[in-house]
Amino acid sequence: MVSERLVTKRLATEGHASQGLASEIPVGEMPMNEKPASEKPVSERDVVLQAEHVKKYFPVRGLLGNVVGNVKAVDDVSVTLYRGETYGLVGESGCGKSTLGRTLIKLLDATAGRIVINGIDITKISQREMRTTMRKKVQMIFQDPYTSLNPRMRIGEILTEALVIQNVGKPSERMDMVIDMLDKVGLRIEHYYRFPHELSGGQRQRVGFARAVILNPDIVICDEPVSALDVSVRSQIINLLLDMQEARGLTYLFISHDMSVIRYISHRTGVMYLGHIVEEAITDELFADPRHPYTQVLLSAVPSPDPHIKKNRIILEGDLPSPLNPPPGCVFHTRCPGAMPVCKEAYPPEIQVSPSHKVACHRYA
Amino acid sequence: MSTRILEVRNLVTSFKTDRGIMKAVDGVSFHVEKGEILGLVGESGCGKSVTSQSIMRLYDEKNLVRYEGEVLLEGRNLMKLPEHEMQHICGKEIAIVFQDSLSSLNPVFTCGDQIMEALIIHQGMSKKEAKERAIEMLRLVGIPSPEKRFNQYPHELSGGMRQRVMIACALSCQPKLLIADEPTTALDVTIQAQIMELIVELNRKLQMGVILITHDLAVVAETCNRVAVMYLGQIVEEADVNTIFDNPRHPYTMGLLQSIPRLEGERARRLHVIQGTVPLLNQIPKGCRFRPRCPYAADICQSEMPELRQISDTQFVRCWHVEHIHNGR
Repeated sequence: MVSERLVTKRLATEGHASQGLASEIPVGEMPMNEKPASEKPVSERDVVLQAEHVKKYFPVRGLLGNVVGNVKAVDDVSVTLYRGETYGLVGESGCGKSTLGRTLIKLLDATAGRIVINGIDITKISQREMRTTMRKKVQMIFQDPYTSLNPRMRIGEILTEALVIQNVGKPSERMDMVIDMLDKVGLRIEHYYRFPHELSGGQRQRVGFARAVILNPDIVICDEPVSALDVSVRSQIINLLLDMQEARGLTYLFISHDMSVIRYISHRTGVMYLGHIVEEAITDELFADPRHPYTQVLLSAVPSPDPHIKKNRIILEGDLPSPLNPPPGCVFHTRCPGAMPVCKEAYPPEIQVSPSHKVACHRYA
Repeated sequence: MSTRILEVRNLVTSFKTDRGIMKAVDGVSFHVEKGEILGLVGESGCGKSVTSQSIMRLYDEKNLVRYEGEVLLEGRNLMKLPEHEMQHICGKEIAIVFQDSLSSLNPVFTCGDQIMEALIIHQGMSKKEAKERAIEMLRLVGIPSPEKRFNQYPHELSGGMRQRVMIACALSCQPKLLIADEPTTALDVTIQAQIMELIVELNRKLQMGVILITHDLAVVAETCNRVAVMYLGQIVEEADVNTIFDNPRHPYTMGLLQSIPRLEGERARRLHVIQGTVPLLNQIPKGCRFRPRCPYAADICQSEMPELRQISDTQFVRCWHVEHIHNGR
C-alpha cells in the first residue's frame, strides 16, 4: 500500500513539474487536513450566506428577439444559512428549488436581490472574480452521478482538476490530498485510476462529493444528491454527508423533493412553491405543525412505510401553474383547499408564527 | 375454482452477453390472485423488471434471450404459446404500464389514437366505437375534458396526465392482469398519491390482478396485499404486507426497512446501512447471494444456497438462519 502510494505520488509530481508557479501559493490557503470549524468562532448565529429578495427570471423571447415574458423561476426569496447547519429546500419539480440553489452560488446571475457570502455581495462581482475568490468557498454536488463526472477523465484527475483550477496545494502534494479525500469519502486508493463508468452510482456520488469537499468549502449546495440512488446506497451517502458535516463544519443547502429525507437530514426546512418559499421552520416544528396549506398537502401525500398508518390524504386539484404566467395574489390560491377572496388579490405577507417558524399565508394574518 | 390469475413457476431468464450467459432472473416463482395487488420490491438490478417483462415475453431477440420455467395465465402456459398467439395476450389479457411515460408513448400519434389502436386490434371495434370507448377510458382515469385531451399529443400533457393516458391505454381492453413497472417513480409526491389511488381504485372496481414493481417500500405499504422481495434475480422473502413490515425475517428485508428515513417517530442520529453494493450479475457470490452484505453470514451461507422455505401460512424466506433471526426493528 505504502509503496503504491509513493509511486503514484511521484507520478503526480512529474506530471505537474512545469507548473512551478503554483507552489508559490502560501500553504495557509489550504487547510485541508485541519478542522475549519475549530478555526472560526462557532455560534448558532454565525451567518454564512444571506440572500435578500432574490429573483431569477428567465426572459422568453418572441420571433423578433424581443422579450415577450419572463419565467419567474425564483420570485422574491429571502433565505439565511448559518454555519454548520443543513437547510432543507423541498418542493415539487418546477418549483424553482434548483434554480434558487444555483443562483445562490452564482452559477446563475440573479435578476435582482442581494446575496452576501462571507461579507461579499456576490451579485455585485463578475463571474471571473467569483471564480477566483469565492468559488472555493461555495461548491455544489449534483443529482445525476452519471452525467456530472467527465467520462474521459480518471477519478484522480477529476479531483486533482479542482485543486489545479483553484490553485490549492503544491503539485507535489495534490496526489496525497486526493488520496486522503478518497479515503475520507469511503473510496479506496485503487479508485484513483478508475474511470467513472467503472464505478457504481453510489461510488460516483462519493466522487462528486469528494470533488466538492476537497476545496474545503464553507457551503455545499446538494441538489437532490440521493434521488438517483437505491435505498441501501442512499443511507450510506446520507451518513457520509452527516459525518463530513460534523468533521468539517460544512453548511449544506440540501435540495430534495423527498420529505422523509429532508426531515432526516435538515436542521431547518423551507418549502417552495412556484418560485416562493411559502413556509420555513425548524424541521421538527415544520413536520409536527405545518401551517401552510401547501405544506399540509405535501406531507399528507407522502406514503408511509408502515401498512398500519392510514393517512387522511388531501388530494390537490389541477397541475402546477406555469411560472411564465403565475396566478396573481397568492400563487397557491388556484389549488388551495381553503382559498379566500383576499388570496386572489395580494401576495400574503410573511407571518412569524413562532420565533423559528415563518409562513406566507393570509389565513394567519 | 381457484382465483389464481397468474402463476409463475421457476422462471429463469438468461441473456447472452459479451461476458457470457447472465441469469437476470433465476428461479422465480410467485402467483397473483384475482383482485390482488402483489408488490415486487428490490433495488435496481435485482431482476424485478426483467421478471415482469418475461411474463409477457417482451424480450424477443431469440438468439440472445432464453426463458425457462412456466408462466401460467389462468392455466395456459404462455411460455409454450407461439408468437402470434402471444400478441393476442399482450395488451388484451396482460397489460403493462412503464415508468417513463414520455418515451413509452409514441410522440407522433395523439393520445386518443394510441388508446384506440389497442381497441381496434384486440376488440375489433370500429373507429367510431373505439373513439367513444377511448374517451370513456380517459374519463375513467380522471383526465378532465377528455374530448379535448383525445386530440392532444403526449408532449402537450404533464407527467401525471401522461401516466394517466398510459394507464388508460393499458386498461382499455380490460386486462386480467396489470403490470405496473415503477408507475410513479418519475412523478412528484402529490401526483404519485393521485396515480396510486387511481390504480387501487381501478383494481377494486375491475377486480384485476396487479403486479406493482417498485423500489419504494412506502408505496408498497400503502397499496399492496402481498409483497415479494427480490435480490439478485431471486425472491428472498414473500409474505402478506403486514407481516413483511411487522415481522421481516430475511436480513435483506430487515436492512431495507431500517435504512429508510421516516416521517413519523424519532429521528435517529445515523441511518442504518446495508454494507456494500449489489454485485454485478457476472459476479454473483457462491452460496447465499446476500452473504457478502449480510451481518448474520456463517459458513453454511458460503457453501450452499438456501431454498425459499415456508415458515408460516403466508411467509416464505430464503435464509439459513431464519430460526435465529427475529424482528430487528
